[in-house]
Formats: sequence, structure tokens, C-alpha cells
Amino acid sequence: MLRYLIKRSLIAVITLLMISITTFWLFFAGSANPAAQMCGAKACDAAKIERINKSLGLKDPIHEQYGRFMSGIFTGREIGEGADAIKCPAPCLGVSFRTSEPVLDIIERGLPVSASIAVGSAVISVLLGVSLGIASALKRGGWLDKFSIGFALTGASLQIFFLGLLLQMVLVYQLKIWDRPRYVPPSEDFLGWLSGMSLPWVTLGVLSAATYARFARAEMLEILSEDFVRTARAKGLTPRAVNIKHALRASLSSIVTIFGLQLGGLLGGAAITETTFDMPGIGKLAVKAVGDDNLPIVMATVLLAAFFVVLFNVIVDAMYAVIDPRVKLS
Amino acid sequence: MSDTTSSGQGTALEPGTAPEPKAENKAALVGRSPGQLAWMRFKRDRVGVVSMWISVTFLIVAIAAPLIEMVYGQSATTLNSNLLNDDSRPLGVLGGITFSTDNPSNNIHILGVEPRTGRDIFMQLVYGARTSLGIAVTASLISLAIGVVMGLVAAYRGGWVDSFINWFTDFMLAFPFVLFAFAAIPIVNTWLADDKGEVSPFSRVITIIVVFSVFGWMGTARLVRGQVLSLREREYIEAARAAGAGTGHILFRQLLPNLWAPILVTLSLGVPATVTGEAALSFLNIGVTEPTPDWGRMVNESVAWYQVEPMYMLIPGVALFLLVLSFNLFGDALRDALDPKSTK
Amino acid sequence: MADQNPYLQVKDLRVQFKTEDGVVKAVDGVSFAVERGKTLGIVGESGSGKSVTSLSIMGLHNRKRAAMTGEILVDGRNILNLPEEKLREVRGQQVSMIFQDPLSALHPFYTIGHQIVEAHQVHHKVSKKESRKRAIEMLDRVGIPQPAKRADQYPHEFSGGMRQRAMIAMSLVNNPNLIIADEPTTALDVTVQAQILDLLLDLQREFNSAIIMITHDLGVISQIADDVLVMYGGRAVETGTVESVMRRPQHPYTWGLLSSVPSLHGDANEDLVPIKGNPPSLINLPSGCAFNPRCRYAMLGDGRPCDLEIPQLLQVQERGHSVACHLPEQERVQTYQQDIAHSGVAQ
Ligand SMILES: Nc1ncnc2c1ncn2[C@@H]1O[C@H](COP(=O)(O)OP(=O)(O)O)[C@@H](O)[C@H]1O
Ligand code: SF4
Ligand SMILES: [Mg+2]
Repeated sequence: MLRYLIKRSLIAVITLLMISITTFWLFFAGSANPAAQMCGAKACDAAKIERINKSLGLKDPIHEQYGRFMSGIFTGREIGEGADAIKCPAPCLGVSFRTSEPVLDIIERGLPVSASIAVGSAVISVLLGVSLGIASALKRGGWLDKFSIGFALTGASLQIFFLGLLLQMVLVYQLKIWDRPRYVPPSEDFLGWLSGMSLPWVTLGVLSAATYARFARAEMLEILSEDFVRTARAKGLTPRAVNIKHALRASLSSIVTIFGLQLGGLLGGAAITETTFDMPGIGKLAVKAVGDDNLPIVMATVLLAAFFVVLFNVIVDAMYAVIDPRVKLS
Repeated sequence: MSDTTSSGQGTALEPGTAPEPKAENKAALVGRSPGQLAWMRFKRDRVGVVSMWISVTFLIVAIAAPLIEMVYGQSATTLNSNLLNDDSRPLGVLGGITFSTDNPSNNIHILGVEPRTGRDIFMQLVYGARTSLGIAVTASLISLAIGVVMGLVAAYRGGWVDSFINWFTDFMLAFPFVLFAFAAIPIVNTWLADDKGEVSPFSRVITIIVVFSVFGWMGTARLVRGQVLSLREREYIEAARAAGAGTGHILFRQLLPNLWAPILVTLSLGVPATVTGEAALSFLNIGVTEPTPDWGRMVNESVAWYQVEPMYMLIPGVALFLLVLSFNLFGDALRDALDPKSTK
Repeated sequence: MADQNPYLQVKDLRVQFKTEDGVVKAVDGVSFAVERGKTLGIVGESGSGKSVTSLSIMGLHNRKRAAMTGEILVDGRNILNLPEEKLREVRGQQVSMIFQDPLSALHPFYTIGHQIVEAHQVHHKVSKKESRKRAIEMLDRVGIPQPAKRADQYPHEFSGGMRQRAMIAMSLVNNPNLIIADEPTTALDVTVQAQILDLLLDLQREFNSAIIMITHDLGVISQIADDVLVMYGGRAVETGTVESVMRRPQHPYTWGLLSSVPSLHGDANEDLVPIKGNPPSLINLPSGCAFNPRCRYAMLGDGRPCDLEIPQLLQVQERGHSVACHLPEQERVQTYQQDIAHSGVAQ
């Protein structure tokens, strides 16, 4: 088990490295003029731009820049020279071209927002989606099943940005019965946090629930037709025991897999969700950074999102081994 | 002891009363190819048939956009500031919906006009469908081709080739697609810019197609690989190999014909997925830009207006939903027809 | 010697499934009976309705999707009318089943011991500990070495033969009166197959249970069955004592099956194609005798009966032996003697 996890983690690290190289190369090699960004509103003269380029090493060969970037993650570094130098402690993901603030600090401000959205909507979507999917598989052909199929199809065809805007338009602005989406830290104002997050949670939660419902239903139907479920019935077990102890138990591993993969991918979709609800999370940060050519922030958000995907892949594999005794991890 | 089995003897009830199927019926059943059988099943699925026709309608609208423009009388890009009030909002009800030509533009506007520009929303939708479906169908076809080749090669060659392709598939799946595409598209566009730093609308579309193709093949590759691995053990492949058939022959003559069903389903479900993704990128203001009409961008632009002009947001949003829904329903029905054992 | 009330009596059983492609007449008017201590073999190619018959006896068909008529009397009670709660008392306790593929029939996530304990606990109000003792006892009884240790292993950790033994232990843990074994040895190699059959016979002697042995292998039937029922296309085409059916078969389909029994010296793993052609689609059976497209004795055309009239299952001269074929009995007996007994091949 341990050896397997180590091997998986190693592959994960290599994957992340490759992603970082690809991203770095694409952005730093192809970009416009970062030095100009650093001047901000008042345009600098050529000499100033030259100086910035030199102090940041923006004209150095790309592999040197990449080397500096990577070593910064592990050891921290000083960016710039002399009086302009910015201290960026490990793990250093660079500094914003705009504000010269370490990227990590900026990310740390956005992370609670994105995490709040992700966790809240994940709870709603799993509870709602999985139970709906399982219930409809057990009562196949009944009204709940029909509803569930319709729900899953509608959800799969709706865009989060459209549904989000629609709900805001109707509930928040027209009927004025729902709080405007906003983020306040739960430590400051817990109820405010709940009510401010509620619309994004419901929207994203219900839409992802459609995915879970569809998946859980298909999985459960497949399991219900398995031989071992027939064996369980042949033993004289009650339908309840057959459904829960035998069928549900067996469908758990794939449901957990989907859950892990969705959760890992949530950050990647945060750009759309957070733009829709105008929430200052990582996704919104990335959208803004792309607009500003603020490459260090773009780089950091892409890496972070990829990190979560890869991390949850490893977690899912480990869970699999715990759930399914047939999986021998070695 | 012999009595134990003879309990049926006294009754000897035989099912002779059941009406026999007509001979022609039987012959019909026997002579059907798998494709014909699937089509028969598909035709029985009413939701599937309706969604197919709606999808086809969308496709026809996209292809025949210039024709529709001729009949309708106004282009998607005609500015009608004379249809707007001083706040740049459309005159009249529901965002300027009118079925009469008795207005300053001398044209009907069955879905109203845009705020700020006064362009006709119906024509924006029609050309937007062209953008969406053009990108989605092309990108789906390309990523399908990439996926099929990757899957075939991985499964067929095995060994390190298989391991590498598997790793590469995982690697591509680990990319946060939206974020990455979102960051990469402007950069790719700078590469495609002409001398004056301008990027032509066509190049922008190409960029998006490339991005979706590069990130869209992984599911197909896995599917094809799995299918081929299970098909490969079958006798007829063995037989072909024993008869000295080359790899290419086995791949394209023996394996591919057995893969068309899952491939068709993947394609029909890949189109709506790409439409959604493309709309999302446009919503984030990446992707096709003015003056190319685009549904996602329409939704994005409606955000500034949606408290006062709800129709401007509703119309492209609902259109997007309907298009994706009908393609999804069609794809599902197709899968059910091709693989009757699948459980939806 | 004859029992007036056999433990199981099936009378004119019909099972139909409505599917997208039409109505599947999986079982079409089949009758048979088994007493305790006796074994009935049901034989036929795959798709002839054997498993559907056996699942009906357990009441395992979804009543909404399977239309069932006729009677299945287990100890006098008609399974087809029994409410679900009562059915559960029958299942696993009075009637139990051994499935063909123990790897897929056992739950992959629970240990063998756990699954046997569960089967015992459903029908006995005893402590888990007692049930576990019983489970280990049964594992020992079916010949699994180190039963206490093996009880804590998962199905995938067992070999095929051991897995089938475990499955048998699970089926017998409640001393059922009727055991239905649905191709229990098909997935196993010959030596293991023989061991499993011996085991079943041993256990039958010990518990005096009735056995239904379902198989497509007449060799198995001749080893352990007392009576045999030959099924084709969901119907019974020949039935009688093993002695009479195997020695003096009268149905052309049975002749075909017999000629495909591997010889003693032959390789039993060899996939023998018993009879030319494929089993019929149960949605669209050939008219008349369902076997007529494959039968070399078929009397067709000019108003002759084989594709016009379904032959009735009628008793022949020999006691307790019935055959459903339009050929006159005299001709059948002669044909078999000349054509088959001498040449040794049916086709
Ligand atoms: N639940 C079901 N729904 C529809 N058709 C079924 C069902 N179960 C079995 N059948 C059909 O009934 C026929 C007989 O199957 P079965 O009894 O399993 O044959 P076998 O003799 O090989 O055990 C097959 O054609 C099978 O497809
Ligand atoms: S009834 Fe006719 S077709 Fe059927 S087995 Fe007898 S001879 Fe053959
Ligand atoms: Mg069977």
C-alpha cells in the first residue's frame, strides 16, 4: 500500500512538473511585455523597462527563468536587485507584475472564497445527487426515476453561468428574496457567510448533483443486475439488506471515484463560477490576471488547480484500495 | 420413482394455442443488420426522434445562416441606434420585439434588438449558432480522430507505447482545462497576429478549435483502448492475423468497423460538451470577438443590462440550453439504441 | 416407492419477459417434479430456459417484468402466489441455489465467512459466534482445508474449485430440502468437476435433500441424476428416468445432445458443437416443432406436421418416459437403433 502510494505520488509529481514546464514555456515565451505591466498606469521610458527586464531576468533564457522559479518554490528568493528587491519567502511562486506582492499572498486571500464555494456545493451535490440517483435506480421506472432522469438531463445541459445569472436576476434583483452573493469570512460573521454563499452553493450544488444523480443511477442499476445481488436475494435477505449492504456497498467505490475527481476539478471551473457570482476567489483572480497579462498569477493558479486534480487522483486511488479488497496496491 | 417426472404427462398442456408469428415477420427479423436494428429501436424512442429533429434544425440554421439572413431581411451586424432610447435601451416591449416592419429599421425583430447597438438578436442567434456549431463539430471531429488513433495505437501496440499514452492521457486530464485554455488562447492569438498586431476572426476560431481538439480526445482514447483490448482477443482478429494481415489492415478493416457505435455516441455527445465549453470561454470574454456573433459572449454582455433588460440574457441563455439539451438527448437516445443493454 | 406428494412440483410453468424487441417466451409450459433424496437433471443448450426455470422456483424473478403462470408447489405451497415475506422464508432455508460462476455470484467486498454467516443469520436467531462456528463447520464439511483461516479471506483469494465449494457451503448452511445447482461445474476443470459432483451426492445422502442439477452436459446427468428433463426453446422435449432417456432416447434433439458428449478419452475441455445450427430466438420460435430447422428427420411441406403443429409431450411405451416429437414411436426407436447406435453419430 505504502509503496503504491509512493509510486503514485511520484508519477503525480512528474505530471505536475510537466504541467509547470508547459505552462511556463507557453506563457513566458509567448507573452507580450511584462515589464510594461510593472510600470502601471504611468508609462515608463525605455531605460526603465530595460532596467526592469534586467533585474527580473525577463530576457534571460527561458530555462534559467524556469530554474529560478522552481528553486524559489523550495528555497524562496529575492526578486529584483538593490533597493527594488522584493523578498519572496519559500514557497515562492513569484510576485505580481502589477503590485509586486508575492503571488502566494494574493492566492491566500482568494483561497478561502474558492474553498467555501467548493466545499459547500460539494456537500449539496453529493447528498442530493447520490441519494436521488440511488433512489431512482431502486424504483426504476417510477415517478422519482422519471424526475431524476429529467433532472440529470436538464442539469447536464444547463450552463452554470446562465443558471447563476438567471437565479440572481429573478431571486436577488426582481423578487428580492435572496441575499446577493458575497463573501465574508465565516470567522467574522458566520451567518453572513452562510447567506452570502448560499446562492453559489445552491446553483453549483444542484448542477453538479445532476452529474452525480446520473452517474449513481447508472452505477446502481448496473450493480443491481450483478450476480452477487441475485445471490443475496437467494439467501432470503430483505430488500433493504440487499440494497444497502450488498448493492450500495458495491457501488460505493465508483461513486467515491467520481466524487474525488469532481472535487479535484472544482478549482479549474472556479473561473466561471466566480465570474458568474462576482466572488473574489482564485478563479476570478485568474480571469483578472489573464486580462492584465499578469503571468506569475496565471502560472500559479494553473499550477494550483492542476495540483488539486493530481492530489485527488492519488486520494481516489488510495480510497479505492481501502474500499475494494480486490485492489492490491503493490 | 418414475412417477416423479411424469406429473406432466397427464396434463400434457402444450402451448399450441399461441398465435404463430407471420412468416414475413420472421424473415424481416433475421435479415436485419445491427445498424438497421439500432435504427428500428431509435425510431421507437420518441424523445430521441424529436431531439434529433431539433438538433438537425439547429445544424440547418447554422449552415443556412446567409439564406436566413436573405429571407429575414437584416444582417446580424446592422446597427440600429434609431431603435434605442436615450439610455441605449431598446424601444418597445420585451427588448424591442416586433413582428411589424413599421419601425425605423423597416424590418421585423422577432426576438428584439440588443441594447447599446440595436442589432437584431434573432440574427445574432442565427450566426451565433454557426459559430458555436462550427467550432463544436470541427473540434469534436478532430479530437475524435486524435482519440481513436491514440486508443488504437495504445491498445494495439501495448508495452511501453501503451504505458506512455496512458500516462499522457492522465497528464492531459490533469490540466485544469478552463483555466489553461483561458490563459493559453490569448497567447496563441498573439502568435497568430499579423504585422499590425491584429488577429483575424478566422484565426481566433482556429485557435479555439485547436484548444478544444487538444483537450478533447482523452475520453475517446480511453474508450477506444478499452474496446480494442476486449475485441482483440476475438477469433476473427486472430484469424486475420494468422492469415497474415498487416497491422494497418487489422486496425482499420477489422477493429474500426466494430467501434463505430461507441464512436458515434462519443461524437454526438462531444458536440454539446464543446458547445458548452466554447460558450463558457466566451462568457469569460476569451475566444471569438466582435463582430463574430457568439452566444456565450451575448450572455456575458447581457450581465451589464440584466437588471433592466432580462430578455437580452434570457434569449441566448435559453437558446444555448435548448441546443445542448437536444444534442444530449439525441446522443443518449443513440446510445440506448446502439447498446440496448446500457442503463441510461 | 412413489411419493404421492413430491417436494417440488412444477405444473405447466410459463415465464415471459416483455422486452423492447418483443415478448421473450423463456419457459413455455414446462412440468416436472422432484422428491427428496432424488436428483432431477435439466439439460439443454444455453438459452433454452433452464436458468429462468430455476429462478422461478426461487421466486427470484421481478414480478413486474416477468409474467408467470402455472404452479410451482414447494412442499405444497405455490411459490407464484406467495407474498414476498413468505418467499424470503423459503429462499435459502427450504430451497437454496448454487450458481454457475461463484466469482461473480459471491460479493467481492465481503469475506467468505461473513457471507456464509449472513446466510445463516437470516434464518436463525442465534449469535454471530454460533453462526460463525456453523460456517466454519460447513467449510470444513465441503472439504476446504484450514476453514477457520479461509473464512476470513475474500472470494478472489480462493481458487475456482474452492470458491464453488464455498458457494456450496453457503447454500447448504441452512440444510435446505431442495438444492438447485445451475451449471455448478461448467466453469471448472474436469477433475474438480468430478470432486464437486461427488461432494453434492455425499451431501444429498447426508441431508436427504432433493436436487435439481442444471447443465448442458449429459455426462454430468448420467453421473448423478435419477430423472432427466430435456429442454429446447423453453419447452420440455423429452423427460424420463436417466436410464430410459440416456439408453433409449427418442427425441432427435436428445440424440444430438448425446452424440456430443465427449468420449471418456477425449479432451473434455474441447468445445463440442452439439448440433448444427443455433438455438432459436425465444422471441420468435420456429412454428410447429421449435427444433424443425435443425432436425434431419423433420417432416415438412405438404401439410406435414413438423412446422405446423407443436408436438405434445406424450408418454411412450416405456413407463415414465415422455417425448414431444411427431415421428411415430416405432420409427423413433428404429431410427435410433439403426442410425445412431450403429454409426455412433447423430448428424
Ligand atoms: N430477465 C430477463 N429478461 C428478458 N429475457 C430474459 C431474462 N432472463 C432470461 N431471458 C431470456 O430467456 C432465455 C432463456 O435464458 P436462460 O434461462 O438463462 O437459458 P439457459 O438455458 O442458458 O439457462 C434467453 O434467451 C434469455 O435471453
Ligand atoms: S417433431 Fe419433427 S422436427 Fe421436431 S423433433 Fe420430431 S421430427 Fe424433428
Ligand atoms: Mg443458464
